[in-house]
This record gives sequence, structure tokens and C-alpha cells, in this order.
Amino acid sequence: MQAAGRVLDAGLKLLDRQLIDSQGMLAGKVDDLELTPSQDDPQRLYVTAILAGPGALAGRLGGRLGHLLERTANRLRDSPQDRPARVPFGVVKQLNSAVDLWVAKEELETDRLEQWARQTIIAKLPGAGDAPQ
Amino acid sequence: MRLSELLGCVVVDERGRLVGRVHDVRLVQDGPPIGQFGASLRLLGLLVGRHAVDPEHRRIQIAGSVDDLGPPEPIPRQPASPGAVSGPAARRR
Amino acid sequence: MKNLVQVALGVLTAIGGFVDIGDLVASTATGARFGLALAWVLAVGTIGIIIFAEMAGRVAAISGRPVFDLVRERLGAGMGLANLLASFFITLLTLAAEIGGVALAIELATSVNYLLWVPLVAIVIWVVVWRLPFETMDNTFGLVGLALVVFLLAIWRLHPDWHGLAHSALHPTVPQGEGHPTYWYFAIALLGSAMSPYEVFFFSSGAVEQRWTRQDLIINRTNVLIGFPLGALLALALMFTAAIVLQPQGVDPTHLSQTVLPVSLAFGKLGLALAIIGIFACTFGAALETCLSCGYTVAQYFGWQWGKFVKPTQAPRFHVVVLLSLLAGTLLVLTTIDPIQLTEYSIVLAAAALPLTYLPVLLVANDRDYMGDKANSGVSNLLASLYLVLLLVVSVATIPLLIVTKAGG
Repeated sequence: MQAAGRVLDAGLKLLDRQLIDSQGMLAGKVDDLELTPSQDDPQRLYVTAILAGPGALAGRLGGRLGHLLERTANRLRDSPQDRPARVPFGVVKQLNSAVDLWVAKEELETDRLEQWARQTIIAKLPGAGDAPQ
Repeated sequence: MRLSELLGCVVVDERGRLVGRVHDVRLVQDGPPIGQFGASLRLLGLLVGRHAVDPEHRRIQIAGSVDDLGPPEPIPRQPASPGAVSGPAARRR
Repeated sequence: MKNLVQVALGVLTAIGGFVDIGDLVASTATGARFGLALAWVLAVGTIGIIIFAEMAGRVAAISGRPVFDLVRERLGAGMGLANLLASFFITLLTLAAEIGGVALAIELATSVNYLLWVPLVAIVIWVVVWRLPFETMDNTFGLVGLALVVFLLAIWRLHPDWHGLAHSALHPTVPQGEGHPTYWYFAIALLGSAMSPYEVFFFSSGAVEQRWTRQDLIINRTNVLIGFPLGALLALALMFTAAIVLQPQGVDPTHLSQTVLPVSLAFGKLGLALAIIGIFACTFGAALETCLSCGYTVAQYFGWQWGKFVKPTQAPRFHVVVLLSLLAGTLLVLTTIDPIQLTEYSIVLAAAALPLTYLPVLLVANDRDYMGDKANSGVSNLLASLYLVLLLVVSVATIPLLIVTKAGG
């Protein structure tokens, strides 16, 4: 558990950090953060989720490149919602040089492209599931 | 709202005078508990620096005057006061 | 005892794995056209790669993360992406050049046109990347690459004018018939071949693949401080033999058969066979390295799981990128572009992109958050910074020189 009152700069300490899941596997980077106004006081914004994946990265890059990236990402994700993949901040375990998570990456929305690549291409090749070397 | 929408925004004071451009945001961990993380991170303020104007002309207007802001910290950052952000989403693009 | 074997293996692999098609082409060409007047560039480039490879290995051992993984954290998403695009493109170009090199080596041995070998070579590369354990792959081709030592032996056999050679190496002058811009163009190409970006990506990712920790810092240092200079000696031997045999004849090497000519003159068929085996192992090993590096850079920018240390099903996007890169590189070679020319372009463009690769290494190696007490010392920083200034100058000068000299024509 973190000590309350800790102060950090988002761009410096949070953005572009590696997400590491509960098994130690790499689960993407912190591409963007979702800020939600508090119910009681709309002037207060809280970080409610980490956004990851091409849709989120598009927002950082901006401009036409960003829009193109976002549209491609949404089409690939085959998701009805027009928003980037989201990691609720509640599953974050620790913020240090990387962002450690409480869950395994398969439980995250951000894993869809990985799963697609696995099913469509890699799993069809012989030896894909063999023990690591 | 996304953090990326804040980064790079031009910040002006109540009279429209240029304060600078948002380089980063400062967060403090004193919000209500969220999931298994602990106290959630709250937006404390913007870190604004003096650099070229954002070509997309996204603007944030702070309450008060640019003169009220303290002297600039040594490069690269100068924090704006908490709660100074007013309606950036409405002013976007 | 086991540790000694491990250290020796690491050093030998570093020696045999140092040379790739870029070094082959650059060293032979400069030897043939400038004698030893550019030998000093090889020394400068080798010292440079030693300094930065040591840093990259140290970063990987201490932080558990390879340098390119940390590029985005230091440079931000936008600059990091620009860096990725440039690095990926150049690594892909180098991959294509290496594939061409392997095919050319086989052509030398079989007299069957290299283009016919390209598809087969690509398939074998992919099978090795897919199936062979990382260390086995690294060690095998590194050790077989030691066959290039035949070039070193050939120098003695050819009874060169030692005095004259030493003089031209230590007092570099531009030979008659060559212009000063061409001299500097070749210097840049030689530097690009010695300090190729993919070597940093591969070295630091490889350190993570092999699970290096603090204890491995010694291995890191010995590999780099002993292995790299000795490897550079092999590249120097290529320059030497070209200077002894090709330069007096005024030969401008455009084919690999000219590269191996000195060895066949010195040792006949046996020497030739060893030279071809050495070239094959070097270029094949480098093809594996560049192929994996294409995957490493993309996966590490986006934060995807990467590496041969996990099952392929656990790193599918990484393997897809590796496969697609190999395909793209192969197709590029199959356009029948001259592989030697392709190699020349790849090393020159690599030289132009060197600051992009090496600045992040320096930044990360200084970061106490990741490095703790093993962050750079003042001395390392001074040396590395001097090199960065040099690399920036080189980078700026590359394209103008390329145009002025018409690519060293």
C-alpha cells in the first residue's frame, strides 16, 4: 500500500512506464491516463484508469497520425465502444520504475491484439507452445 | 478526460495573457481509495512553462492573474495553483 | 572452472561475432582504395562501441531492461516513436544486407547465383530464430566466425612491406587518385560499420535474454574489453589483406570474390574454404541479430512481451514483427539490388543515425533510478560525451558527403 499524500509528476513518473503484470510479464506501456471529475466536486480530477494501446497512444501523438492510429486500432479491436483499452487504476499494485499490477495480463482489455496475434498467426506454427529456451 | 488532452495546452490568465504551455501535471495521492491501489491520485496542478504556442490552439484559462503566480522555479518547471483549471474540455480545439 | 569456460566462450563469441557484411565490405573497400590510411577510423569506432556496449550491458544487468525499452521513458512517446522509426528502418536495411551477404557467401562456395539462395537462406534464418535457444544460436555462429582468423594468418603468408604499411597506417594520407571528400565518406562508412545501431539493441536485449544480473557485470566487461578489440583485429586483417593485394592492382572491390582473393593467394583452396565458412557464419549470425533486433525495437517501444526467453505463444506480436521484418528484408534483396551496394547504403545511413541510438544509452546509463550505484562515472561520461559530439558531426556530414562523392564512386 502506498503512503498517502505522495506527490508525483505524471509525465515524469507515470507516462510511458512499462506495465508488468502479476506473473512478471510485460503488458504494454502507460500510454495515457484517464482523469475523472469527482462526484462531489467537479473541480477535482482523479486518475481513474491507465489507457494503453494504439488508441491511447494516438492521443499522445496528436494530429493526423494520431487520428489514423486511433481509427485503425478501434477497427482491430473489434470493440463496439469507440475508446482506447483501459486498465482500471484499482489493479495497480505499485508505482516504481515500472508499474506493477495485481492481475495477469490476460484479464486486461489491452491484451486483445496480443490474443489476436496469438490465435491467428503464432499458434498455427509448429513448436509455438514449446518451453522457452 | 485524458491526460494527453491537458499536455501541451496553452495556459492563459483571466485577462487572456499568456502564462505558458502545460508540460506536465502534478498528482497527489490523497483521494478516495480505488480498487487495490490505495488512495487514488488527484490532480494537484499543472506544470506550465514558457514555450512556443500549441498549433492546435488548445487553451486553458486560469482563475486569477498571471502576476499572482509565484516567481518561476529554476528550469524547467513552474507550478500553477491547485484548482486553477477551468473548463479545458469545453475549450478544447 | 565452469565460470572460466563461460568467460572464454563469451570472449570467443564476441570475437567471432564482431564482423558482419558491413565490416567486410567497408574494410575491404577502404583497404583497396586507401591502403591503411583509414585504419585509425577502425580504432576510433571500436573504442566507441566498447564504451557504449559496456554501458548497454550494464544497464541491462542492473535494471533488467534493455536500453531501447527505456528510450521511450526518457524521450517521451513522440521522440521515442521517431527514434523507433529510424532505428527500425536502418536495422531492416541491415538485415536485408546480411541476407544478401549470406547468399553471396554460398554463391562463392557453389557458383550458383546468389538470388536463388535467398529464399532458402530466409527460411533457415527464421527456423533458427524460432527454434534454436538464444545462447546456442549466439555461441555457434560466433565461434564458427572465428574462421575469419585465416585473414590474419594470410597477412604473414603474403610477406608484406611491414614498414610501408605501418607508415601508411600511422601517417594517414589520401592516396593519389582519391579526393578528400571520398576519404571522409569512406571514414564515415567505416565508422557506421563498426558502431552499427543494431549491435547496441542486440547486445542489451541479449543481456536480458540471458538473464544477466550484477554478478554478470564482470562477464560484460571481459566480453567487451577483450572480445571486441580482438574482433576488430579481424576487421583490420580484412583491410590489411585488401591493402596488400588489391590496392597495388588498383582493384575497386565490388564482389565478395575480391575480398577473399588475398586468402586464396596465401593458402589456396583450404584458405578459401575457411574464409567462406567464416563469412557465412558472420553474416548468418548478423542476420539473426538484425532480425531479432527488428522485433526487439518495436516490441520494446510498445511495451509488448518480447524475447526468446518466453514461449512464442507468450510473445506473439514480437514474433509477428520478426517474421514480417524477415519477409520485408528478403523481398528487398529479391529486387536484385546489388547486395554490396545495399550494404554500403545500410552502413552509411547507420552512421547518420548513430546519435539517435547512442544518446539514449548515455542518458539511461546515468539514471540513478535504474542504475543505483552502478550509474556512469565521471570518466565514462566524459568519454561517452566526446563520442556523442563526434557522432553528431558524423551524422550531419553524412548526407552531404554522400551526395558530393556520389556514394563514394
